[in-house]
Amino acid sequence: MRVEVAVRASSCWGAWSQGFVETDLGADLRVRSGAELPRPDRYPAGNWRRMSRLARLCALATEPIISVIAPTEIGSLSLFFGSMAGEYSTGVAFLHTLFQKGPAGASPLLFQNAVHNAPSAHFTIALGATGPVETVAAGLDTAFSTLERAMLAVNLRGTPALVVIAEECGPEIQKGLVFANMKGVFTEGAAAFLLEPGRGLWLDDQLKGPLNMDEFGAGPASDAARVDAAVRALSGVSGSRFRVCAG
Amino acid sequence: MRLQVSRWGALTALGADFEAICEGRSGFVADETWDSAWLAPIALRTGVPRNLALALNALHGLDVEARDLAVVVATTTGGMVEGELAIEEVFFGRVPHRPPDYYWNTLLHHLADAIAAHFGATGPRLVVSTACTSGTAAIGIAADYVRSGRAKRALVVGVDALCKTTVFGFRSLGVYTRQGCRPFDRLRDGMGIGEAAGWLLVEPWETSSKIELLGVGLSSDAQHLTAPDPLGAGLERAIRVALGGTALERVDHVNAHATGTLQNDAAEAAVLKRILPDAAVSATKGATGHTLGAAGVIEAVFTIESMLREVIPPVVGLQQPLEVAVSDRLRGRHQRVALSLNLAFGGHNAAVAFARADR
Repeated sequence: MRVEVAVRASSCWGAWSQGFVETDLGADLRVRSGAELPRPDRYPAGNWRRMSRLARLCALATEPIISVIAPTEIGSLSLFFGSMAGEYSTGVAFLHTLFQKGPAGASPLLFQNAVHNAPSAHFTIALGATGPVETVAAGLDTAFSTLERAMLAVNLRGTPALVVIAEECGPEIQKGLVFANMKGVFTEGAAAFLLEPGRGLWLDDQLKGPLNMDEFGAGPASDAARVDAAVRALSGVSGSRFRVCAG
Repeated sequence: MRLQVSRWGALTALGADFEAICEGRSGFVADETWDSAWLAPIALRTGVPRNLALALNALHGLDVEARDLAVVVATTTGGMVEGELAIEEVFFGRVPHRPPDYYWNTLLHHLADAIAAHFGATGPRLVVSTACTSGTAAIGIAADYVRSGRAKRALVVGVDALCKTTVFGFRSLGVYTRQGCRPFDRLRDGMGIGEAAGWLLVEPWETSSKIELLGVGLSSDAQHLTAPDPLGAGLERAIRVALGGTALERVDHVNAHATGTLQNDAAEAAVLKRILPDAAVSATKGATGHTLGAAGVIEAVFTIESMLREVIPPVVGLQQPLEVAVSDRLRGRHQRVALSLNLAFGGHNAAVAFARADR
């Protein structure tokens, strides 16, 4: 099996710990999330206020790419959103309103934002994107599994796909990861790719089993550069390793 | 490449037998421990997280070649049942007494990892969580894994257990039923959450195959975070994509999403009336409750069983039908092609189409 697509554009936002003032997980977990995120004009202020931090990260990562999507492509654009922890922090916040105020006080806004696909929903509404949406998770392999899934779809459907990978990684997630004896620093960030039929990014002929970035290759140099920047961001997001080959 | 669904199964509040669905029984019961919400908990004896327990109980007895087997799991809650306990302990200042992998197992992906490990599957694994369209989307991903050669076969598992987040979340939105779910009924007042697990095995077509997986269609309304497009334009697109080159006139049966909420059922009825006026329509959430991430898979199983048995399950709770072809009969026709539909938070729509090989 060899799957190959072209990378028309890529971008990332805030990977490598932007938004955290302290990431020393060996200390007392005083990880404070976030710097305030700037609102793109595409999102009305009222909508922006109702969006979770994860959804805002996704919006900011995709904003530079939107300009290279033709209006005629919006209807057939596939969207693939991947996140390991997704809206876990929002889910915790919802439960806090439930525990604190009882069923009558549980927050409907936090509940509707707690579903894994909420960030992609905000995006489709803002862009008017009416194509297929898949929101997935695969643990520490989330970034690569999402990318692979999108590559298969681009090959089979012959239409462009927007891939967004994001982690908010707030204090609740940090605590859980440390409690689970996970090693490494997990930070917030988001990366986005616009894939289309063509050549540039491929999956290995002999690819079998759970995905590892070692099975990805990229070339020629221009594509490699695009992939390199975003994949490096992804590596920071997911904590996984990667390799990019310029060919 | 033509694909088949070779084997399947479902475990709901009514058990694992499709007969209960055909008989019009309901799994809804009043449960005062959940503040009088209408629930249908399944009795399980196991020491693993509840979603995994549900899935493994549904999969019990399945023997499948593990080499190049993909595992695609649909769920909205992951391990949240257990996660809620830990979050509640911390919230009220109690010291959590949990094993170290406890938090890790509350995340979505642990289900796919655990099910893949259970079978020794060596293919790709993925969790899809697109709210209530998760199950149908998972079938589409499985089909693509097999079509592309990424896997020889793909096991699709849909599972969601009851938890406080979903029950009280839907209540906070004001869409939770007080009377029990009544799909497509003029007096419907909302959904009721159930729990379930279902599975399908997607493989390349063989001469002995009985059920063909024609296709899966997905779309977005791009209008509202929780409410569907009243005209159902996105759902119509999903249906047409799922059918591919198959004419709408060949569709004999539609298993509708039909949650029993005012907006969902009205939008769905509008689409069915517009493009599938002659198809028999079934809706099973009055029997099983809305099983969220599992719904797409268990309802695909019901659709397949319905095709093979030539029956249309009755719509439990239906007394005063909307103007839609809800029917418990096929008017003498065989089921050649059938659809299962799902709509979700985020304005996502999904349809999966099956055909009987001998029709």
